[in-house]
Amino acid sequence: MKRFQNLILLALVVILVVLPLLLVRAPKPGPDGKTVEIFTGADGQAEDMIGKIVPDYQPWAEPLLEPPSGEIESLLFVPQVALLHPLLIKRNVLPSGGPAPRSCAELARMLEE
Amino acid sequence: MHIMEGFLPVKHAVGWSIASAPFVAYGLRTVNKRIKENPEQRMLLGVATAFTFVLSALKMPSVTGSCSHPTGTGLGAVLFGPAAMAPIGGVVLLFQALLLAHGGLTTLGANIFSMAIVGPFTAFAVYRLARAARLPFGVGIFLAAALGDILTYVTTSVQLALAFPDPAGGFAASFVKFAGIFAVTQIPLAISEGLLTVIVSNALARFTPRELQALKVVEEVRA
Repeated sequence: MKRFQNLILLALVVILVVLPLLLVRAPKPGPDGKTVEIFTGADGQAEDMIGKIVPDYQPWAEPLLEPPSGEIESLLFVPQVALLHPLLIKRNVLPSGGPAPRSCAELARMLEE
Repeated sequence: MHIMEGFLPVKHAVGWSIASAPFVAYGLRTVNKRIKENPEQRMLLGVATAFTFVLSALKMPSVTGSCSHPTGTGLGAVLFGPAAMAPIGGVVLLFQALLLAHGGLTTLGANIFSMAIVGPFTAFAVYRLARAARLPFGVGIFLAAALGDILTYVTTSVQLALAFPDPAGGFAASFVKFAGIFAVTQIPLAISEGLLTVIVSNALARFTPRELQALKVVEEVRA
């Protein structure tokens, strides 16, 4: 049980993420022919709610750099994570001061020790 | 929970920045002191920062048909104490404001207060209570991370309701509206955050048991 604990926990996370994708269906387009977007961000919905409560509120600042689309946003985000990743393996998991692993097999051996 | 750039009135933006500043300053001092005395803990600090960076930018679908994101601050709060997370969460939020247009510079103080102060303090208190109640390590971590996540979003709802009270119902009506957007959506995400934090903590307990003991996260080295 202990051995499989992390696998079971990870499976639960996957279920929690995948279930909504299967359960939530986009409602049919209304009479005005507009499709209703689903899985929009809650942060953005809060922004819309501000507009409903105080219709004349004008935001007084703009983001300095706004990714023009979701695609560009992932373009910026994914490399940051990818760059961080080897940094973590090198500096964090391995005993400090030792030589860096040259291969995956060597890394696995060092982690076992 | 990221309040968008310019979406808090000037007074509120300034107020939350003033409220957050001492936490960030004190946290920075404790982190610097810790690194000086225990340079080997730099690595775990990196893990905690990376965890927050990734989780707080990860938009996940929820049963409500909306997407929201975890915060990732529970892990670092349990490892290094809640004060350390103010500057760490602050740096993460600054990156997101500058590079991803998540949140903003004018709302940085408010976002730090919810995600990098209230969330970590909640998580730390819950973890210590769970340990005092002799709950298992994993259960304590799970409760800490999940409740820290929820309280972060409650704080955001309070901040927005204070800034934009409902013309008819005032603060309370407005709070119900904002919490309505965040609360139900956040419940499955908070559970996911709890589970992910347990997974990472289990790995840390396995690979770096001595560090966890030195940080007083666990009492004895677990086999």
